[in-house]
Amino acid sequence: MTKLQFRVLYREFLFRIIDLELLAPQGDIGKLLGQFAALLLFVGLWVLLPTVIMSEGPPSELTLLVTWTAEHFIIATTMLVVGLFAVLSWESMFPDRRDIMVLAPLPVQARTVFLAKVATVTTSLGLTVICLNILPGLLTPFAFSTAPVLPPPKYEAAMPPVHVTDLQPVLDRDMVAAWEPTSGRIGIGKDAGVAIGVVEHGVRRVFTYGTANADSIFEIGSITKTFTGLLLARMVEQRKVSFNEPVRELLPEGIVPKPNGPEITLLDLATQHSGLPPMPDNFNPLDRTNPYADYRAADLYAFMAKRGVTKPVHPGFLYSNLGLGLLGQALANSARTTYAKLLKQEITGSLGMRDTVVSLSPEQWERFIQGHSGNAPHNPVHAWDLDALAGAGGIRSTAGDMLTYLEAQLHPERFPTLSAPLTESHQLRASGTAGHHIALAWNHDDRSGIFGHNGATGGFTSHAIFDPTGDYAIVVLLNTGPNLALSPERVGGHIRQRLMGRPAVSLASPLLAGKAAPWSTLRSFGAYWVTLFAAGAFLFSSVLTLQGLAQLLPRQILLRVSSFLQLACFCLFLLVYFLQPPFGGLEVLVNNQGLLPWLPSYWFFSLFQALNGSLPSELAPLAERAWTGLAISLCGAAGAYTICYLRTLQKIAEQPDILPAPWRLRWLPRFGNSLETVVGQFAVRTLFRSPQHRVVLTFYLGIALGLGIFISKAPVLGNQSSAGDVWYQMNAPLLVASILIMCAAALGTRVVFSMPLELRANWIFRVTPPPAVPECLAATRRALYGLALAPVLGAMAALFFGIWPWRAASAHLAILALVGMILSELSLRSFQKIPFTCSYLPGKSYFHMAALAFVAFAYKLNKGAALERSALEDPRRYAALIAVLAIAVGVIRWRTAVRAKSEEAVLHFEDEPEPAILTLGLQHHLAALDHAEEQLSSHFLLKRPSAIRQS
Amino acid sequence: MLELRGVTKLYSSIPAVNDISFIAHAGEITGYLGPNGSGKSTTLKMIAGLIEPTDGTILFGGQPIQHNRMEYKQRLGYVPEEPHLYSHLTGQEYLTMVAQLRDLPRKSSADKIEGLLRLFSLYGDRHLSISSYSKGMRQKVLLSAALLHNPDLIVLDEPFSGLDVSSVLMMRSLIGEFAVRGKVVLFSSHELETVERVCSHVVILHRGKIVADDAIERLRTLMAVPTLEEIFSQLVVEQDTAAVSREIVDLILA
Repeated sequence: MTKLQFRVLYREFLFRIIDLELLAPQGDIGKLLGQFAALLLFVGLWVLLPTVIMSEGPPSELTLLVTWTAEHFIIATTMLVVGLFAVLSWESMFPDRRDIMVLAPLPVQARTVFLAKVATVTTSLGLTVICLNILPGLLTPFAFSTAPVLPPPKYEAAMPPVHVTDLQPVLDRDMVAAWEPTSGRIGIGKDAGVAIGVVEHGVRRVFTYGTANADSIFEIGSITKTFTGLLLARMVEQRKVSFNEPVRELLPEGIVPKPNGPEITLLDLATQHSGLPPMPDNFNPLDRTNPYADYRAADLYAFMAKRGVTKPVHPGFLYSNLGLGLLGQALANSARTTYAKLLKQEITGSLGMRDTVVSLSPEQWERFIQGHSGNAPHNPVHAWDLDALAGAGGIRSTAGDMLTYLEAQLHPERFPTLSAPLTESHQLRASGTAGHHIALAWNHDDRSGIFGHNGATGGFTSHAIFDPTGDYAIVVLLNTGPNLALSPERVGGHIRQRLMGRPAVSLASPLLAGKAAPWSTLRSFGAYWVTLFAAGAFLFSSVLTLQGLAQLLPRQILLRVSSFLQLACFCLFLLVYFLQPPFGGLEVLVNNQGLLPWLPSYWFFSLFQALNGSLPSELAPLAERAWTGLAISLCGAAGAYTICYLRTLQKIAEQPDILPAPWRLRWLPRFGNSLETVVGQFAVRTLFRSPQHRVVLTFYLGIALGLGIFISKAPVLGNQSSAGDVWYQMNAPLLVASILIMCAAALGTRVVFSMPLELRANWIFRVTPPPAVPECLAATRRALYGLALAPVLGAMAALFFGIWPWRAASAHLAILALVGMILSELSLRSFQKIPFTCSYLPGKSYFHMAALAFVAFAYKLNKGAALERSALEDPRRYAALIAVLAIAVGVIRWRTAVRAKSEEAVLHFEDEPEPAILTLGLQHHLAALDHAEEQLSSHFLLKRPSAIRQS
Repeated sequence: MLELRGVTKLYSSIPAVNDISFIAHAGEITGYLGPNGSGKSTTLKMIAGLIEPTDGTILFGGQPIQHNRMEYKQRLGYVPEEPHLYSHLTGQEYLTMVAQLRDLPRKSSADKIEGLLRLFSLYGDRHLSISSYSKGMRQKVLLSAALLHNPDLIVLDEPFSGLDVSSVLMMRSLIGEFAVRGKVVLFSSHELETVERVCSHVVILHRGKIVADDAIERLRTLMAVPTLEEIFSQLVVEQDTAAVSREIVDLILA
């Protein structure tokens, strides 16, 4: 009996797991679930995309990074889908009033009901994960198992502190591992060459390995920035410039106007606190192998003219090649020379660094070591020539020259001409990355007291540190671009550990090639599915836990809070998914002091690595968090069901579902004449009080908000990938985001207008004097404007007037309003009904298709925003754009009005329910006639009843 | 005066109402009776304009109602059989919405709504959602909505359903009062005792056809039975109810 009851209840609950009432009242649950499965399979194809990309090319460091990104993407997407599924099945997770009232009189034990419910929830969760991952889950484990892995670094045993004079044999032995990788490790290329300079207590040594010689010249990349910082200190000492001098004053006259607020100073540039983006947005190299060569001063000035020199009110640390490049150019302008000449004149000349230059002589070209790509197979790459941005990374040097430079940093007093500027350049002036402060371009590790800077170009990487306390400095120059096999930073750390007698990190490449063995594939397959089920279970159980906690509230409050919690979860899942940065490498993840290590998608990413046997040691704590989080959420879910079993069931039976609200919005403005007011107020009340309509509208707004934030987070959050846009000035991402949200509000509201509320209550509109179609259209338009356009415009006005100059803000708001009106008019073209009185049964209206179309439309918005941006910068273009949009509004509105006034226009109401009597339809022609008449009678005849009757 | 002439309604060629004709006079309460499925609600829906007759004509004041539907609906008050209302609105909001749909003057309609809410004992609950109303309260909202605009034709489909005794008593006298004021009142009900007390004239429907259309007093005389219940039993009850009851009990006990 119990088993039969369980089976019956299980089947019943499973078909009700998606809230049909919410999505398609009177729809077919079988069809709806089928549509969901198809949608998940489609998303699964999208999830498969990274694997396809990943499969190209030989295994390398890049493959590893792409693999990690793909793994994280799959996990994060699965968690999002499970989260959205949890939101959609919100009301079906626990027994509800209907279950209790129907099942209570029957001889069914509460335990059976609960077991059926838990089994249903588990099955549906499993089906969701399987449907989504059926395609990627079969293919990606093969790709993942052959991808390189990065196991925890190994440390060599500690030995007594090694003096620099004894370092050669130690390094010779240690570097063997780097140069001759054991089988299975992906090593550095055979043409690699590294030059190492070490100075300790005044004793200096240069060591070279591979193709490098002691006098080989390397690109030092961003270590150049410290030279630019020193140049600034030098010129301040000479009173040619001052730290607080606006950079504007050192640019050619008329390039940038003086801003009203605070402006960028030379010190802001040197300390990476100018608010300037990492790179200018007009950086479009013709030759990608030598990308900086054609970026001239004119390009730099053009960007600054557009960007301006306004400084954010509270600029944070934002690493900017543009900022230091601009500083170098500005200082050169001040000295009426070039950066290269200024460098020689003020620094390298004084220090005797003859091989430290921007442009090489023919003789130096002979000693310039060939650079190689960071990715296997480490092909030779073109040298980088920097012009306008030379101050950010244009210097070439030797290990010997760099040792001289670092010696000067350690003992400024030994270099009288530069003593004061060197000392000045070490003053800590602002906060830097986590645990660091910044001096004049030098990064200072607050824990160790060491100053340092890294550098990288297409074919070179470099690392320089100096420790004034320990009186030593190290420089490592490598003729290979950024790679994981042998990074100068790891070599530098190894040498430092040897000097101090600590266990030294192994110099052997940490990168292991993947194995295509059956066991590793099988393990990858298992790790994939276990991780995704665990991630899904974690999220679903977390939602259950949340609901369980909410059940501790008084039931009447719970019923009111529940729908808001549902919406909050929906928004949270979307926002987290769209806001979280893509996987940026281990360092970014481990060193992040913010929320990144607390994002569950990264926990389960680490869990996958642990199960796959490829867990870097840095990620071990995150994998532990995954297990802990999973255990807590499962316990929480169990607790939630226990609470429901012991406490809530009785309350459901005893109390009605809804008691009067303590507060209710009673007053509403009139929307015009009686009909307009009826439609407007009816729409407002329905949207505020109907969870179904609220959820669907939130679905649209949530997607738009998520996409909007995703698009605009670069300028708003100061993301490194931003190309020149800052939030406090007009920028394309915010233009796109605001238009997107306006579109979502207009289309989403229009979609919910088409969703019926209580079809059987529509009779009241049919027994009262019927409005004509044009009147009804006008009323609906007002309701749409009032509910969608006005709130979005208000919110956007508050945002843009708060952050942008008023002219730009008001100009954009005018365009936004016109775009909203165009969309509203388009969406009302064939809307001949009163909002919320007509059904959108499956087959009649596909709101999810509308949502997909909306996403496709959003994809194209970028071009529109670019057009608007160019118009906002030119009054004539702006006037033309406004005129075109206004004409478009007028034309579409006129056509809609003509259609509404046409003879065919009738106000539609939902069809009458099916007649109680069904026939086989054998009298076909008679039945057809009756059907035609039925159809006629199902329309509320307004304009021309006589014409309809004649037809 | 409301008149139906040869009105027929077919559903898939099967008649729900078949060629019915009757007249409901002003100042008179006409009872419209019939067993379940006899076509009562279909007739009342056609009179309310919710569905179109397949054949025949409905006239009000001598004019077919299709000729000037707007004017007809301004004069019609209708209470449907099922109390379907927009349950997310409060009672007061619903009545205000109906007043606006009928384009009634704001001030006077607000006074009327307040008065109706008080008289129907709904005033204390006027700000509650209709979803929390009992069936009787919903019925009162429907009645208020139907009477708000002072209609000339009042069509009531099971108006006493769900009402408590005092409300039923009040409704009875209310309907009588409307008739006295010259309104046309047509109402259907299964409560024959109430119909007998309230109506002067009844129309009895069976299987879509009218089987009686006369004053109650005349029917009693013609059929030589003392009550409307017995008239009804003779005309439309085909089963031996006592025998069927015995069979049901026997089946359960078997």
